[in-house]
Order: sequence, then C-alpha cells, then structure tokens
Amino acid sequence: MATGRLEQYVLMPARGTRATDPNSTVARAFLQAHAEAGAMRMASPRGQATETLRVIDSIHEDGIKLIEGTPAAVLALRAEQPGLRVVPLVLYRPALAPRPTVAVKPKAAAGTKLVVRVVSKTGGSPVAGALVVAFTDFAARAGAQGTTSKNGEVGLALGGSSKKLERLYIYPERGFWSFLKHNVTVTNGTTLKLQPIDVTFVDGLRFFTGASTLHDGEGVTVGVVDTGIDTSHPDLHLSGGFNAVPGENPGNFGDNGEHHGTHVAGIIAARGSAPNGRLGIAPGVALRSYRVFGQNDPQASNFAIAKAIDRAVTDGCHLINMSLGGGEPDPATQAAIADARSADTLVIVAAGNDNRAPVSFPASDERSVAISALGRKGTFPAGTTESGDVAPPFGKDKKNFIAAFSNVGLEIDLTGPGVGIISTVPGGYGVMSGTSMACPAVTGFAARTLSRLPDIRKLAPSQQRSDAMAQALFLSARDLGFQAALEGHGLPA
Amino acid sequence: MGRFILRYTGSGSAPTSFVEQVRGHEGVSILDESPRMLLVEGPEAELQRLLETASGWLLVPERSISLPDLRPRVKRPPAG
Repeated sequence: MATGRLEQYVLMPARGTRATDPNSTVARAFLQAHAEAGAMRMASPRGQATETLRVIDSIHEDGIKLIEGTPAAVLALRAEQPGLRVVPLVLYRPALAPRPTVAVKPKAAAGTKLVVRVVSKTGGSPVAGALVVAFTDFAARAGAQGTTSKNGEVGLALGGSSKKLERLYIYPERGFWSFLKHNVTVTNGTTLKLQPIDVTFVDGLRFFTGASTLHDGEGVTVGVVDTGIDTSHPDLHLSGGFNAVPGENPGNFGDNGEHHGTHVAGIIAARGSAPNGRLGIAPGVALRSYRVFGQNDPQASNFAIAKAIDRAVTDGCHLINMSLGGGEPDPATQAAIADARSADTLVIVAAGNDNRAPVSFPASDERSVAISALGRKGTFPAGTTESGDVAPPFGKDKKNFIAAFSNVGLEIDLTGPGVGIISTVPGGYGVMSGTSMACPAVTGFAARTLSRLPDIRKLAPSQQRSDAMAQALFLSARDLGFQAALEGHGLPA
Repeated sequence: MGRFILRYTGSGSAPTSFVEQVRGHEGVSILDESPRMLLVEGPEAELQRLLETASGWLLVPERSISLPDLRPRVKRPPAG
C-alpha cells in the first residue's frame, strides 16, 4: 500500500559501494536480484500489504542503486534487508555566505539578589544542588540561574526583591521530580516545594516496558558509551569497562560527575528493589562502561567515541548504547560503527533533542539503530518540566506522544520511553528526559529479545549476526499509530 | 598544527610499518593510539603527505560533541 510522497534514495551495501564482503551474501543476492531498472516489492512490516519501490539506476549489479518510493516502502525495505543502507538522495547547492546579523547586547547584571528556598514537599527538608533557572523573558532567554546551597537556598540576580517570571524551572540532582511553573511571581524568601521520587511510581519506562525479572537479558553483553557509570551504586553491577578519553587513566570508567551514563545504565540494567530501588529492563545483562567524556567535562571527542566502540567490539559486546550525538557526520565514528556492525555488534543511538529537527549524527548513520523519544500523559506528576514535552500528534492511544524535543526523520528505526524516566544516579535515583533515555530503553528491549534467541547469539561473529539482531528487534516492534518518521517500526517488546 | 585522527579502514589491526613511520616523522606527535587508530598532532599537509605512502587510512580532524542537556539556560540578565 503506497502511502506518502515518492522520494528518491540511494541503496547501498553496508560497507563500500559493492557487496563483495563474504559476510554479505544476503545483501548481495538482493542487490543482484534488482540489478536492472524495475519494481522492487516487499511485504509491509505493519500489515499484509505489499510495498513497492522502483529501481531507477544501478552502478553495478551487486552495488549502489538509485531507487524511488514512499517512506513506508523504505521502512519495509529496511526491515527486510537490515544489512543494506538506504540514504536520502542529496542535491548539493552553492554555499552562499551567511548574512551578518547584529547581536543583542546584554545589559549589566542587576546587583541585588533575590533569595528563594527549595524544599521537599513532604517534610520540608532543604534540597541541595538543584539548578534553579528563572526566566523573565523566555524567548530572549533573559533571567537568572543558580544552584541551591546545602540549606536549599539560591540567590538570583533578578534586579529586585520581587519579580514576575515567565517560567521557573528547577532541576534537582537526585531524589525529586523537576519543577516548572509559568507566570509566577517570586519574592525574597519564596519557598518552592519539590515532589520526592517514589521508585514504585509508574513512570514512562515502567508503563511501556512492564515488569522485569533479574534474569531478563542474561547471556547478552551491553556496552554503554557515555560519561561513565557509577561503580559504587548498589543497584548497578558492572562486569568491566574502559576509559577511552586521551590522557586519562584507562581503568577509570566510573561516572565523570555528569551522572548521564549512570542514569542510562540503570534504565538498561538496574538491579534494585523497592522501597529504595528498581529494576532496569534487562538486569541480567553483563554491563560494561566505556567512558568518552573527560572528568567533569561535558565534551567528548570523535577519537574517544571511535576508540570506545572499537574496544566494546573487542570485549564482545552484542549491543552498544550511545546516548550522544550532534554535528556533522564524522568519518572516524562512521568507520567504527561500520566495523562494529560488520563484526557482530549492533549500535543503538539516540536521535537527538533538537525539537523535531532531523536525526542527528551518529544516529543518522545507516548502520546505527536510531531511536526517538516516546512519552505518555499521566506518567509524570503535574507541575514538572515533563509537562512541556507533550506535543501532537498523539498515537492510537491518545495519551501517547512523541516528545516535543525528539528529533525525527526517515532514519528513525524505533521509539522508546524517554519522558520523565526514573533511574539510577550517583547517590540514589533521579529523573531525566531525552532521547538519551529512550535509547537505553530500546537497548534493554534488544537485550531481552536477544537473550531469548540463543540461536542468534550462537552465530559466528559477523554482520549476519548483527543483521539478525536488528531484524529480530524490528519485528518485535508494535505500531503505536505515529508516522514512520516519528516512530520507525514502533515500540519494541 | 592541529589534532587529527588516523583511522585504518582495512582488515585486521593497523600495519605497524606505517604507525612506526608516523612515530618517527619529525613535527608529528602521537598523542594516543589504539589497534586501528592514532590521535596525532601535526601540520595537516605533513599528514596528508604521509598518507600518500600508505593505503587504507583515513585522516579526520579531531572534534568534540556536547553532552545532551535539555535544560534551558539563561543567556542574559533581565531587562530593566
């Protein structure tokens, strides 16, 4: 069933321009079967209908082809032939010089600071280390921000002892939900109350993944390429890791102070139990940490990322989770992902959080499995920042939505819960949102799926194995009723 | 001078002969290495010349990406 506009794409082998690799027999046979211009038919993964693409031109019988079809047909092709790459046809234009613009000059900061206090909604104890962001003009990003002290107080340079704010955000480090209020007046001494996290709360992760057991994911090794994982968290059991940051101790693969990797790891493999902890999606996996962000450094180099991917493959990881991305496609990272995929490792990557912008790199790489972020109304308390992530269109179930921040596009393979997710952080549990959280949710699903398919795990390390893993994951997905550019094949099970 | 990645794209580990050639090349420093990559510092033109003597290597500038962070930040103080 042809739905959507006809577009042109380039169909390519996983590596190079011809499918000459001995491990790519399936891809080669498919390309050779469509050596001439003509129709290319395949069953839709979403139903009984047949999707049709058209071969317009071919460089070689087992090589690159120019094809035309709808996004739905391309999705069907990717499900049937996960060992092939399908990239949109790109038409280059002359690079015009950008027009100069006048930057707005900031006015001098106000001298007086207005002090607000952040406390727990239950018991009133002070909340230390929470980032408070107060906007007087949100569009201009004008306002003041600061982090609460140990007595829960923060001084905000808002230019007076009382100020009307367009938006007030609070992001606690751990133990509490975030806070968002629109059009609020704060005065010196205002007390703001945060809701404590209850780890038994049905957040987006728990709603969409259901209950886990400690055995889910057994037999599968997962590498988390990120900011490191807290090695002393009682609910995270690491089987090893590596620090790929140049100049740092390779054995120091613990959390770098940013908490991101620890949160990601818990979504996949936390082994806690109520009332103080919870289970991830696949707690039985062998979890490994590959740190690519330096100590207290929010930047990661392409060298560190490529090195970490190589090392994870050498260490026998079946799955690599990469909740990172941005910038132009990088050949070093592309080469590492291609090597991983042709070895036997599936690389699962967050699509990015640029508010429905195109899928960022390296999720956009055709060998990556790209993940958008799914949310559900009612899986986060009212008055939290997550309320700002709700956006149409809604799914078959009208409470489901693809997060407003999620990047989208043809490259999206799957979606996973990424709005208001409770998971491990150093010192306890915290809430984060992003495709960074959706990505490990899908990695956890992939580990569960792979754990149940020992025949795939027993295949010799080759692209045949990573293709089989991708296909099993795609086929496990259920359509939530969004366009393919938003959810890909849907939510895995 | 700049920092670049030399990535081997052939099969198996990188050929040691080329790695040693880079290591001994005046004006080029190896900052880090792994079985299939070198992180080097040196003039790009020198590195391009070195690559002319070897096949299966990519030369890529080192660059960084930022940690994903959805939290909005204040860019300027309030007006008035």
